[in-house]
Amino acid sequence: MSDLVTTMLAGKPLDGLIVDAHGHLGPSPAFHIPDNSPAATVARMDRVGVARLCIASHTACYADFRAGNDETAEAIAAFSDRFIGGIVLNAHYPDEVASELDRCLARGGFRYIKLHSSLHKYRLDAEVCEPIWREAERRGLPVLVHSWAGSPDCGYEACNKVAMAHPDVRLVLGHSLAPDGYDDACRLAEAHPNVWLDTVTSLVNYGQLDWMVGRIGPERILYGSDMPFLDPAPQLAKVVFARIAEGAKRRILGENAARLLGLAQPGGR
Amino acid sequence: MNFFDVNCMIGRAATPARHGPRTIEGLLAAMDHAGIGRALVCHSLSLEAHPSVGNAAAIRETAGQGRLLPCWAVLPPTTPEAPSPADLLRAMAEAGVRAVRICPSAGRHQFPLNSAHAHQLLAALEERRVPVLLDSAEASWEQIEATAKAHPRLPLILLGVGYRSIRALYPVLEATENVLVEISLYQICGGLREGVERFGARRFLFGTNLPRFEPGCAVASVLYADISDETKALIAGGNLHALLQEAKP
Repeated sequence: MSDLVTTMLAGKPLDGLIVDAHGHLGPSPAFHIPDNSPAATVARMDRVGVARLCIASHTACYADFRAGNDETAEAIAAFSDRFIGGIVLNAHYPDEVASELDRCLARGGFRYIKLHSSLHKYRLDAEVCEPIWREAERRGLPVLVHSWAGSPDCGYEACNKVAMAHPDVRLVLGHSLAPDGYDDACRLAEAHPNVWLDTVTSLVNYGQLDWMVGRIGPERILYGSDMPFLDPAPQLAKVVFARIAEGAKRRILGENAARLLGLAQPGGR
Repeated sequence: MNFFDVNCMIGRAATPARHGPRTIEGLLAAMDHAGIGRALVCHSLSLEAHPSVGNAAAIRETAGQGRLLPCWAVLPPTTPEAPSPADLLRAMAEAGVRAVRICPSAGRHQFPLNSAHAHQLLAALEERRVPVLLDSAEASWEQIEATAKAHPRLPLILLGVGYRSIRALYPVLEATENVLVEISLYQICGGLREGVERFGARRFLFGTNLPRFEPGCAVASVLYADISDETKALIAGGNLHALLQEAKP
């Protein structure tokens, strides 16, 4: 495999197994996304060298999780070798947790649960979430949560309680408690072996990843882009230009996600 | 590709970038790592202390650094602390400064953008085609549009335009010719491609927000954009180079 910095400065697609562990799909109500269709997303993945992208549709995250999960399923059907589905659940609909998981898993291509409690407005540690955590545990599904510093719904306290109460659930803290809670995110990863972190945020802080790897090691850090919400190129660059070992970059860019999600590796696409 | 950064800061910030480079040497090494040749730099003291303090520091600390070009922060000639526009332009010419930054927000220099004095300053800069940098968070979109329309030949470079502001940005780009966008936070999927198609390559400028941001991120935004190599070269540095060439303080 070629040197990542050299490849990126040449503007060529990265090689090796690149798995984006945090993505979406479709238009966003909050702002215009020029390239948001499944086909445009795959074209963008090809351009930068991303083999697989974990997706949870914006419709599901912002609004109706069932309608959005259908969008995700349709995209997987069209690009089954490129997309990995995240089943979005909403704790305000506790009676639909098991049935929605059954429905999506039966369609195939879904490998994790996605919770955006900040948009759906509930606390991750609320009693109403218990059915979700129980099902995740029972089915062995990782859970990617939107985590944000200072948020009562998905901040340090809520994430800590969940990680402690459900040690067998692999809990991925999307955004690693951005915009300024990275110390707390690392603290959670140190305290709980079931906590994973990801690299997603538009605030591409200098040396952030170097510091995180120095503190908790690269094994439980996942590359994510939020694409098509955000473009993958600058998000990949955060990892590529980090001043860490090439092997650590490769783990973060894909090997860790393959391990978490049970994907075949090595071999790339 | 010749990368020329329009959004870079030197000096000891009150709230420094936690892991970012804090010396000129460190900054240059970070630029090297990401393949960036030159940078237009403001001094933190110009923004956070007083322009008269920071602008002198910018000249002092970039002296002999061929890759770093100083950019001054300026105030309208409202109060005796600010030079007249004529004196300002003379000082800029003597110091080799070809771009300025305005900081009108309450958290910074706190002046109205629509005052007669602000227009006096901007008109003088417009006359000499001196690019004016403005953090997009320091003014409303209405203020930005009004300022650009009042001074249509003034290159007004918006720093830190966020990906979420696209629905506010497009009308301003449509209504004006002289509003330009720095891309360090403009990270939407397809945003650069669509922006170039609708508004032209000259409206976008490469910037990193060093030392806060990882500079390779903005480099990658340009290198991997679905636009021609010629367009990439303009955004990477050609546009800024041309603007500074045209400036005659």
